[in-house]
Amino acid sequence: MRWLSPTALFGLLALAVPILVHIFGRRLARRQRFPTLRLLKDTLPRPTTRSRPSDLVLLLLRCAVIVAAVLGLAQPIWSTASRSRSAQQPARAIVVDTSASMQRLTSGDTTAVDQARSLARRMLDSARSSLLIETDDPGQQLAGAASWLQSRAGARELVVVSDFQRGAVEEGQLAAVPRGIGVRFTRVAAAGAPAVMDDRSVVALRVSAQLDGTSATWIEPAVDTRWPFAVLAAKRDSDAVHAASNAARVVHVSSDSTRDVAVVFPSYETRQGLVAGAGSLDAPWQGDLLHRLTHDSLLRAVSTSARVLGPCPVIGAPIARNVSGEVVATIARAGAGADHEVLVFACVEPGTLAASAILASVATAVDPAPDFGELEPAFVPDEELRRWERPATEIAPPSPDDSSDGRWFWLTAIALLLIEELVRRSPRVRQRRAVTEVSRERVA
Amino acid sequence: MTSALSPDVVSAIDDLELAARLVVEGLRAGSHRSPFHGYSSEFQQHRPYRVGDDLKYLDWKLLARTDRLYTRQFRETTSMSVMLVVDGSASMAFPEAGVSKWCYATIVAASLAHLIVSQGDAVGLLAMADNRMTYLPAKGGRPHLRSMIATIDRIQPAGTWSPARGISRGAELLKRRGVVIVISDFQDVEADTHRELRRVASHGHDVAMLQVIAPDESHFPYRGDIEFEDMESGERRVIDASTVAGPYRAAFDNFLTRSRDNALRDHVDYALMNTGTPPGPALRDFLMRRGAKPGGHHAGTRNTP
Repeated sequence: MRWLSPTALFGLLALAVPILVHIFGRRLARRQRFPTLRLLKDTLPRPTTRSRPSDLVLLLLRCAVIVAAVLGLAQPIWSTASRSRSAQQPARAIVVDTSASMQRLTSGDTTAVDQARSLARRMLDSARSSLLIETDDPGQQLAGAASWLQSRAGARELVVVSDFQRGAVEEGQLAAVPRGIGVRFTRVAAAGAPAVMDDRSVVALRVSAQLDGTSATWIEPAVDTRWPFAVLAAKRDSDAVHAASNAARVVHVSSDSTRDVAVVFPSYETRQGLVAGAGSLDAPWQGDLLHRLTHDSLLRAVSTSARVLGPCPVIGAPIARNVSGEVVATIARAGAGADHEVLVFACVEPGTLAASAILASVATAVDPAPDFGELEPAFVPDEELRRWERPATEIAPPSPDDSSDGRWFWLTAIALLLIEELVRRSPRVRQRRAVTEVSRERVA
Repeated sequence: MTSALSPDVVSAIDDLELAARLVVEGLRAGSHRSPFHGYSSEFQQHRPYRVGDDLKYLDWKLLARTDRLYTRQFRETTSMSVMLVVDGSASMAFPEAGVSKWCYATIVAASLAHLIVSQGDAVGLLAMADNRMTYLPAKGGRPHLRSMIATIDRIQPAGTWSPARGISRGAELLKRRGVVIVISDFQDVEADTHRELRRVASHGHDVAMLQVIAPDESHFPYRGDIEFEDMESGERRVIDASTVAGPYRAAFDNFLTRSRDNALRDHVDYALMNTGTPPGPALRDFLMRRGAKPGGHHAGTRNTP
């Protein structure tokens, strides 16, 4: 049993009034000096100084009226089975993150968004009243969800379903949720890799950190991406080169590059001429390129098992070697009069995996803008989420429409008042009748 | 001009003598015969002289004219004695706010005394407060009136009175037949009072009862539980006034009717005086009724003044 306005229970002190009146009422009666009581006494069929037997009943009735009225004022709420059930079922506002990162596949065969939606639906079913918000910026919606919850009665809970990429929900935004409202985070775990949308294109995510959060944009390179470098090979090798390029696209995401780089395969007709004119790298950006290529893990891993096709020219700097120490590819500055500034001499067959690795490595080295390290989105770790969460401690006062059981007490009070009136009247009626009879006798 | 001095105005006049004079002056304004007739040695008729008649009443001028002996006869020539018996019991102090019955009674008594003395009759006083009698013999004259008014003024209503004792004693003190006017609320021992009034009246006295009541007694304007205290016995009783109001009013009316009926039966003059009405007109009504009443005054025909 709960009271909506327990302070009204102080009204029980009013019980003292009828009791005191009952005890001291006779003494409290106004005194009136009167010439003689003779005539007054004659009019009374029986002495009234003795307290009437109905007085005690009246006192009890009056006390009961006060108790009932006070209890009615205090607005009690009985804990019934249905009420306790509804108290256990909180009002729930669910914010589902539909941002880009949620489009990724989960370990199941669905996207994170779909999984989040089905989770949310399950939570909606177990809530007393609920609100579902789908947004690509859950943090912004917290305040709105909280204000909706504040208008609800009973236990209240705010649930955020997201992959909790950094920036999706900030700790500062949680401040908008008033104390007493529970906050729960449900993570929809996405498998690490971005989903491949079709067999040719790669969908990648560009995440950029900004002052107010992190934003992510999907990047879907066009199929006919222009390589930021030229591929020089014999015509008969064009199919192999094309296959290698396609394979390399899985890794590379294009952007605009102003550097003029060419990959020269052994089958290229004027390769010997290019080798003759080539020299050592001299520009700073060429050193940068060399550094990236030599540190390319993909190139390094693939080239260990590469089969070298003829000896590689010993110019410039070698960028990859196989297990037997043979140079798989080397990089050099192009000679004067050449069409390109920098030449990468590949010493493998164009159709091999090593060729693909070289193409991909050169592409990422020449055009490193979307660093793959940045592509991997950062997530808010679980420990931090647990720290942000809080249980629904406070049970909100039910809104005015949440009717209390006070009306039953009011009804009782009114019924008791009626009974009191009847009890109070009945002896009087008898008394009055007796009085008139007495006076009639006297007249006679 | 008839005095319509309201009771509270009259009672506000501290000087009881002045108040009485004001009331009486109002009475005088109307022309009426003295209700306490008796003093004026008014010539009534001649009758033939009989041996033994006092020669001083012989009409010498008639003897000279007609050579016959006639004796002049006069109406009552002795002065009347009026005894005012005033109830000074505690119940007369009601109501405690406003004009009490006692206050009203003293004004009526003083006015009567003033009137009687100014007509040359004798007036006496017997007031009984707290069962003690204050007595002034019936006499005439201004000094007597003044001391009498002062005496009434000094009395404070208290205790009870014994109407039987008061009335019989007042009648005894008159020594000879006279007028006994009892001013009271007649709330005490009704039976005794009426028996005594009847007895005194049967002894040849002219008896009048002035019953003084207060409006609150007759209207009973009380409501709810009230502890009523008997002003004389001090007895207290909590009574629901609303319940008894109706029966009480009926009982009070009965009481008044009973008083009047008893008075009529016993040939006692009766007047009801309500403290809510001016004393002048009430007194005037009473006196006019007395004046109109045959034999209401002592107008015995006598030879001797």
